Amino acid sequence: MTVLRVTKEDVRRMAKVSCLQLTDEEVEAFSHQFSELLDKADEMLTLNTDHIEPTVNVLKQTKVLRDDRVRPSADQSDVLSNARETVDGQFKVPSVFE
Amino acid sequence: MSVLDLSLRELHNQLEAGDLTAEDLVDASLKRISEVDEQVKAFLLVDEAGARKRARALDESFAKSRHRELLSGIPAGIKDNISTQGMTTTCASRMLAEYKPIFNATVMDKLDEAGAVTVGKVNMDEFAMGSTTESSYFQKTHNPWQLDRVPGGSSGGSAAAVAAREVVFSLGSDTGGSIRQPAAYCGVVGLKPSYGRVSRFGLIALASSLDQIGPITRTVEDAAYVLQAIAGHDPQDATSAQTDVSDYVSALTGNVKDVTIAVPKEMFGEGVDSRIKEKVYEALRVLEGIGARWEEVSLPHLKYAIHVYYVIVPGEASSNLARFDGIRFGFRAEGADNLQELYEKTRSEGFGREVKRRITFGTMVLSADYYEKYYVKAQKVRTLIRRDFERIFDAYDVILGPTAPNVARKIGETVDPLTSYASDMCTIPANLAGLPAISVPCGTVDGLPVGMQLMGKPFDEATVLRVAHAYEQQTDHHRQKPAL
Repeated sequence: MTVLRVTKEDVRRMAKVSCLQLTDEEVEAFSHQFSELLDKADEMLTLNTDHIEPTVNVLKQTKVLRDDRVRPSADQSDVLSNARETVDGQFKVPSVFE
Repeated sequence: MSVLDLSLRELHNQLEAGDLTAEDLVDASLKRISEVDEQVKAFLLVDEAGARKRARALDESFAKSRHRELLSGIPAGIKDNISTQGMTTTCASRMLAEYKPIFNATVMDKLDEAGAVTVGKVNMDEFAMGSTTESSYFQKTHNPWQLDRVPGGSSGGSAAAVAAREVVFSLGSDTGGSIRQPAAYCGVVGLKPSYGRVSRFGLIALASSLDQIGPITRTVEDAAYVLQAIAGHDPQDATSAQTDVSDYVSALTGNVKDVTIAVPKEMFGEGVDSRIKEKVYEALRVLEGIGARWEEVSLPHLKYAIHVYYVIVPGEASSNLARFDGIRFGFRAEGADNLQELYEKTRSEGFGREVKRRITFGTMVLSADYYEKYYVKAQKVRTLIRRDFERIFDAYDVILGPTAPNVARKIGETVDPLTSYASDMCTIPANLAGLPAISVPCGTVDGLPVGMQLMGKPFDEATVLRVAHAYEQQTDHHRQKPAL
C-alpha cells in the first residue's frame, strides 16, 4: 500500500485548526483528494518564478484611504437581531473556561 | 409571445409609453414562477407581496413624473449570496438558512435606484463552491432545457430563472466561472465584469481576490443595461476601481471591422468536447464574416491556471468562512459545553461536505509547511498568467474560446471532485487576471446549449459587449428557448 502524502492525521489536524469535526469517511476521502490535489499542484513547481512578484490582487491601486470622519453605524438591536442568544445588548456564548 | 420574452429595451419603451405597467410585468413574472418553478426549482424565496408593493409604488411615481429609470419595473432574481436587507440571504447553506442581512449589498442599492424589482432570491452551490448547483443545502435546480440536467453553477438558479423566463434578468457572482458556465449551460448571456468594476460590498465572499458580481440576461444588450446600472466605484469596497464607467449600450454598434481576435490553442485542448469546439469555431467564422480578424495564439501558462485556482480559492475561502462561528449570526448548534465545542459543532453541522473540503484544504495550503511552496507559488504563477494575457492584449482586442468544455451533465451523476474542478478550465483564467468575460449562446449539442466566451482587456467591457452583440445580431441562438 502506498503511503498518501496527506495522511489522515494531517487532515484531522487541519480540520481541528479549521474548527471542523470530520467523519472518518470524510477524513479518508479528503486524505486521498488532498494528496491528488497536491500532485496536480506540483506541476506549478517546475516553473521558474525567481524574481516574480506574487499577485495578491490584480488592481493597480494599493493604498485606499478615506477621511477619518465619524459616520452613523448600524443600530445595536439590528446588529443583535441575527444572533441566537443575546443578553443585555451583548452576544451570549457558552463559558470559555471550565 | 409573452411579455417576458421581450428585451429590456422593449419593456422599458412599453413601460415608458404607458402601454405596460410595472404591476402587470411583475404579475407576469410571479405567474410564470408559480407555473414552472416547481419543475425548475430556481427560487429559494419569492417575495410576492414585496414585489407587488414595489411595482405599484413605481407605477404611482410614474403616473406623477411620466418618467421611469432604465430598469423601472423590471423583475429580477438575485443570487442568494448577495445581501438583501431584511430578506433572507442563505448562500444556499444551512449555516445561513435564517440569516436576514441588516444592510443591502451596494448592487442592491444601485438596482433599487434604477427601479428594478427583486422578485426573489435564487439557488446556488453552497457558498458558491461548485459548478452544478447540486451542493445547495435546500434543493437541486433543474436545467430548463432538459430537466434531468444540471443548470451549471454556482449561479445555477440565476441562469435557470432567466432561461425559464421567470425573470427578465438576474445577478450572479463569478469566482472561477460561476456566472458564465451556468449561462452557457442554460443558453443565456452571462457577464463577469473586470475585477473591481462592480462593488463587492455585501457579496458574501468566497475568494476576495477573484469574486465579481455580474448580470445574467437573455441578450447582450440586456447585459449592457444591467451592467450600466451596477457598475462604478464604491467607497465601501476598497477593491472597487476608481475607473470611469463608459456607456455600454452605445458601444453596441454592430461593427467589428476594427476588431482583432486572439484564439488561444490551449482553450481548444483535448479536454474540450469536439462538438463544442466546432460550435465555437462556427461562431468565430461568423465574426470573421462581418470583418473581424483573428489569429491563433498561445498562452503558455494557461495550463497551470486550474492548479493556481485550486490553491488560491481554498486559501481565501478558509479565511473568509472563519466568520461563521454560530455567535453573531447564522446557525448555532445545540448542546455545546464550551466555546470551542460550539464553534466546532456549529461549523460541522452548518456546512456541507464541499465547503468542509475546501476550508480544510485551504487551511492546509496556508499552514507553515505548505504556504511558501504552494500558496505563494500559486500567487507567483498567477502573475505569469496575467503577463501572458497582457502580452496578447498588446496585439489583440479580445480573446475567444469556449465557455465550458462540455454541455450540462445529468443531475446526480457521480463525478469525482477533481474531475468536476477541471470543468472550470476555460473560465478560471479571466478571474485570475481580473478580465471582463462574457458567455454568449452559440448553438446546441444534443439539444443542450453551448456558450462562446469572449474575454477583454481589464475595464474594457465595452469592447467585449460590442463583439458579443455583433455576433448575436448575426445569429438566432439567443431567440431559442426551452420548451418548458
